Amino acid sequence: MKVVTTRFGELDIDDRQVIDFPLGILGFPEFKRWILLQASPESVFFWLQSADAPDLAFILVQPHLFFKDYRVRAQDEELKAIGLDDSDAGEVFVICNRVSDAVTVNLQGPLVFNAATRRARQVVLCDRHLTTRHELCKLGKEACLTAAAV
Amino acid sequence: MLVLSRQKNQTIMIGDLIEISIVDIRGDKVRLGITAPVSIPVHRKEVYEAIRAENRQAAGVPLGDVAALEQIVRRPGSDEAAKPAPAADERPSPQASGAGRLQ
Repeated sequence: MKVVTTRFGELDIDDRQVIDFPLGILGFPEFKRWILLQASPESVFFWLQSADAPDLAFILVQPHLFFKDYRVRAQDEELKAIGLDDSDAGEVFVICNRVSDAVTVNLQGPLVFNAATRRARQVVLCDRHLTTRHELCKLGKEACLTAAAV
Repeated sequence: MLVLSRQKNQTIMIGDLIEISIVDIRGDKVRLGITAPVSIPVHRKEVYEAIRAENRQAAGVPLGDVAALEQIVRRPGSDEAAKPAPAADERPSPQASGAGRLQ
């Protein structure tokens, strides 16, 4: 299928590459079909591009690369909706944002993917130590965080 | 808004499938037990609102130049020297493979 995007032009995507978010992403419940693209080989960054809204895309990273102690303790009900028994069986990504001069990640609302069924959802974690904005790095600095405790 | 009075261990039904029970009442804190189909997400509102607001902002984003970010944020363990950033007019070229079986 053809996916029209504002950032990458028109992409020719195998239907099997589409990831189904049956509940959408919080704030975007109407968009259920997404595509995951690595920004470049070896990159830590991925684009999650909507298959239906050309200008709608998120930048993701895999949190375990940066936050060694981070665990997704989601409610069973949330995982059942995408066919997972527990979050360790899923692939976890978090959404990046820019807040003034820092890149932050939302560890409170991770995206959990079931690679076998290609279904995913954003789960909401109740852990009080987690927020929607954990700093990943400061912009304009060479040194960057590669591991941190949550 | 419908307002109902309930005591501990009493329940209300919303439709046929959603049950909300009063599990405990202590001072100004009420513990609720909620049974709902997996297709109906249940969240604390303030957390839900925070994540929704963060998603909206992140989607707008401000991180358009991922190539520049890649110069700053590297895969831990990779100590490869920084490469010059690609020309500004170069369109990002997402890879169609990698990240396990998801792409």
